[in-house]
Amino acid sequence: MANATTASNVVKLDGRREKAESLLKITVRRFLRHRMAVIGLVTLSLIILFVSVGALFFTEQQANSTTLTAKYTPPGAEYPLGTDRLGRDILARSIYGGQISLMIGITAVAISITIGTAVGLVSGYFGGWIDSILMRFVEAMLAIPTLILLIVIQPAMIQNATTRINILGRELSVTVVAIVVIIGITSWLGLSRIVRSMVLSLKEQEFVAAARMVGASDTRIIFTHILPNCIAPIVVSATLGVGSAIVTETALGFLGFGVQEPTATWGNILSGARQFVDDYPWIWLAPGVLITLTVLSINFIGDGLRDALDPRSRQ
Amino acid sequence: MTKYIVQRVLQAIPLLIIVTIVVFTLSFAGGNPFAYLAQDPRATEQDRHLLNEKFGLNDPIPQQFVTWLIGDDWRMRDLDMDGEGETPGERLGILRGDFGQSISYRKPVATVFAERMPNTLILMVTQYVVTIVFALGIGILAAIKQYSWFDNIATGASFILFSMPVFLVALLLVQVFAVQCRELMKAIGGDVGICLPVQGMYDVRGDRSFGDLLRHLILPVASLAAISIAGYSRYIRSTMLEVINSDYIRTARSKGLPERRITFLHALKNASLPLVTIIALDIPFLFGGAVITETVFSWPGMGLAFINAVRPADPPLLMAFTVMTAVGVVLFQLIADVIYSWIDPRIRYN
Repeated sequence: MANATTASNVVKLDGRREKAESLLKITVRRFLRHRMAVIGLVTLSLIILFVSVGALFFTEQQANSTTLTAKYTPPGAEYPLGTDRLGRDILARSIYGGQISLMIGITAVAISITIGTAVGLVSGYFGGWIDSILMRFVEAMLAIPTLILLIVIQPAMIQNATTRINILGRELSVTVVAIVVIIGITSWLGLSRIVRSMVLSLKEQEFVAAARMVGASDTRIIFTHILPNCIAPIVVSATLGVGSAIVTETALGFLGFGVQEPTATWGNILSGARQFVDDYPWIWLAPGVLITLTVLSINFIGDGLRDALDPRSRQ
Repeated sequence: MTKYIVQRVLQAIPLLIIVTIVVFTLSFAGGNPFAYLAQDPRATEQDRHLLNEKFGLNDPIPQQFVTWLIGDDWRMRDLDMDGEGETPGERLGILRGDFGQSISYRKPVATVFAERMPNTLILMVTQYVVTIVFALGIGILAAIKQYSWFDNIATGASFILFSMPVFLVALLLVQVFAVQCRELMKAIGGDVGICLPVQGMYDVRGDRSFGDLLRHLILPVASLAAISIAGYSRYIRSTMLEVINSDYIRTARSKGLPERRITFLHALKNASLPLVTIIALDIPFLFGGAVITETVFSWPGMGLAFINAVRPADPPLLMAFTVMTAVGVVLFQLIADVIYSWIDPRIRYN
């Protein structure tokens, strides 16, 4: 593969020096070579298009309004994806629910990445008793299966479930915030261990010793020398984290512990499905397919990023 | 080795202390489990006080934690509200094997668990055996025929299954093998009895026979196993591939051993080493059951008991369940390490 066009800093025959490719450019090029990752990116873009452009055709009022005379209508001309137990349009709810589910996925990951990276950096860099305490805590939390931890935390976080709050001009159930926080604070454990182990090896390297020698502060060393070198696993785990946060939200919604109605999410559209396993498959089929496609695309993108960011195969 | 095990057990103690403190704090933050009685006109203030006193909920929080850990049988409780304790406490605490009294089931948590553990084990052990058998088969075949159509289909299928929430797999299976099957049978005048049941362990009016149980097992086991097989078979495939391309397999092949013998004896032996660890690490989750699958199929196991204990809140059951799972996880992590060093002499812990 090492021909003149891909290798960086190659002096060509006529003496001109080819410009070195930036890391971002290399990553993008290698990501685009990963066929499934590109398919994933396209699919995810289509889903985002669906939940954003779709909102132009329905108001949120329509998605949440109940028409008791039209409950359990099968898919047809008036309701392309049918209606649920209160006669709400599944298509409209899938659109607005999708916005909330994707938003929950992204914000929950923002929380978990922040905590996970911070704990990993502090633990790995400072070591000693701080490291012992933080890592014992992480191990203890890892001993409790995530779903069980989530369900135990849930009642503590959601006490006045009927309160509404205003986010970006939309009236949402306050449980949206609660679910984001719950997922965020339970999903950083794995990342903190990855970051910690990277920091442990990075801080022994010469460039860190050099920085310390010229008098750089700990903060400076952590943020300008160590953190940038941990970006690859953080990016990959953030991407995959969005997928698993969406699955977690739907699992909680399905069990009835998720975001409270009338605010729709892909998860709580499914919550009605539990009682009606036998009949009305359209209630769970559409959101189910959307969830699977979204998570599948995100997993492919994550895989592509992992390969693209892998420093051991710089091609 | 003994020294290592003792060391690990000692390390597990602070871990479990953290788990218990966290779990206790969380279930306490969930609010008073008898709060709903405030709206009930039949419940008097005294009734509520009595219940709270009986479950020790009037004590300060640290004292409640101590009671939960080591019991309260050495002090008096004030059940007649005269400000003085007169009834001796009855709890022994979780450290002395008393899991407490379940509020929602109105019996000891240990009894609830004892009733439900066998049901959960029937489901989970069957699921586990099915998973390992199929995952081994698919994983090995995919590895020895790498990039064949079989391998590609297995890869594609496991990617999709891995991205699906477990309840979606369950709902799809129910739809196909129970609902649509019944429709089809009604339409062609066939026997509806061949369609699979989706609720509980036995037919309500059934004879509770083994065959009935097996029929009820098929769908929950299939939906759990489908996703586990997807993960396990990927794992087996990659460890098999690593081994198959190693020198000693080439040696075995060049000295003319039959391919079957190489795959199943020489390669599988080494490829299964990491698998043993994975299997051991998953065992503690068998006891907890599958919360979601048991909910979908109304399987009367541990997972369903746990879900039912969330609302209305049943803190003793939630805490016992969570701590039990955590102890299981820690214990089997140690067992996995010990087994691993035992079957692979290259591993030494020192």
